[in-house]
Amino acid sequence: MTRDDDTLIQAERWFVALRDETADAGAWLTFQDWLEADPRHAAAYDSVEALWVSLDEARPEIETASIIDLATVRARRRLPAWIAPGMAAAAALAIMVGVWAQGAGGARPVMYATQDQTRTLRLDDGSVIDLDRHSALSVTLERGRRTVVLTDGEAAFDVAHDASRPFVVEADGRRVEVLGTAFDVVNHAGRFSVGVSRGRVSVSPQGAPPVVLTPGQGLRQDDGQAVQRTIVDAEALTAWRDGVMVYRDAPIAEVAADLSRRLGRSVTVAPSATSLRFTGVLQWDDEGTMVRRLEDFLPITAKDAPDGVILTAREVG
Amino acid sequence: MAALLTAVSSKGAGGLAADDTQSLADCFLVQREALARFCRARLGADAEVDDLLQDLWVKVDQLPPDAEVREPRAYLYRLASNLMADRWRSSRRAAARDAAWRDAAQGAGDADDRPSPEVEVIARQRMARLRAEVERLPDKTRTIFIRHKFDGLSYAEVASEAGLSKSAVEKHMMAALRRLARAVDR
Repeated sequence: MTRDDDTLIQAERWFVALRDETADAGAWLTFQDWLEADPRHAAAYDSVEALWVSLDEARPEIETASIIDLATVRARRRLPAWIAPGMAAAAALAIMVGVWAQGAGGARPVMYATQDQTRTLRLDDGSVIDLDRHSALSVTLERGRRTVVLTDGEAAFDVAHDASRPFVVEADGRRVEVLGTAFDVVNHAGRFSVGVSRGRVSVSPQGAPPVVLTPGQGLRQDDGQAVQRTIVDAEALTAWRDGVMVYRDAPIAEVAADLSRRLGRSVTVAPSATSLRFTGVLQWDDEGTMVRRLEDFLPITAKDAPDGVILTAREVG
Repeated sequence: MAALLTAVSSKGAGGLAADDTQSLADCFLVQREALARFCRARLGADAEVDDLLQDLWVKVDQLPPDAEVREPRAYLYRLASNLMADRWRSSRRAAARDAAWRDAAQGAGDADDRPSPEVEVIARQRMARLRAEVERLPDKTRTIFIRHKFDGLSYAEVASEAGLSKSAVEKHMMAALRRLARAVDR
């Protein structure tokens, strides 16, 4: 075994040991001693940590037959303190699966809303929420659960692992439950969609059984419509946080709807243009610039309308 | 692993006096220099750690004042460590954003503008090898690895669920990580 292998194995041992959340200050200081003993140690540790982070996207697919019932999994872990000991297991399970009883901490929801800018929220539990333009949500962090109600718009979630409190996003009667993961939710004008970049979520649509989504998977349900499973590109899904909107063979109506929601203006598609599809990247900018860019990409002209534009097929002269 | 942890360091600044009653914010102020030293031990002696410590302070400041933290010092080291791990995530996000741009804009722009697709192919192959190796892990190791890495269970929770000791769980994690590191080390 080479000296480099030896160092790497030591680094792996340290990494694994420090993943134990009960590691005390002495352990961290001994780790520091090891780091300071040789510059190659820090480099080796970096490579282990980078490997660990890259593994975020390596979760194996769950086969339909062996989907783990999240509710059952949660019931096996420690129950919130307010569930009295001796309560029947079935009753405890029912409480955890269904709508939660009155919140234990009496915590009040905190409301957030955006206008023309996106906003990044850093929650006390370490989770990060990116809120899109013209969007609104509320956050309630209690001892036994973390709840977000997405009342309108779109948000991308990067949820901090906390096995003792599930993180739930509610959107007009649907629920998205997570354990520690990154995903995006849209709830606007009757459209509901979820896409997962990292980890795993359980989605309860309206009037349909819960669905488990893994990275690259999405789900869409428009009001009154059936549930549709979709494929999502993990990074394109949330590129809007960086002011970039990525589309691959998307119907023009979807692009128009997204622009409309983010601008707070009316962007609609005339019947002559509805069959067009868009593949490309739109850099967020002022309305005029983005619409002109769309006109460059597609055979359309933007005609003025009250409070916005109508995208119409360009007449061939 | 026990051998590595029993050699308690006496070089750490401030010694190891019990400080459970100290608030996290107070602990941070007392330990700031020690934490700076830790960050430099990770990132290099010349590293700019002030921003990192500022981010750490913001995280500490955001906690509700009555939040109970056992072992505040250890908690601060862990928070600092998590912040340092985040830099891998930002650079991966940036790289993936560039890849998404290239994917979507296929055919647009000069061939010269676009970086070589080989870098992306290599990254995809690497991810495919990692996924394949996770599948190939022995059953018990695989379950333990998935429960801890992806489902967010602590070692204590995994141990209880699997009917194993915590040190057995750590051995499985060690074995998984060794195999995964070897799978991409070519």
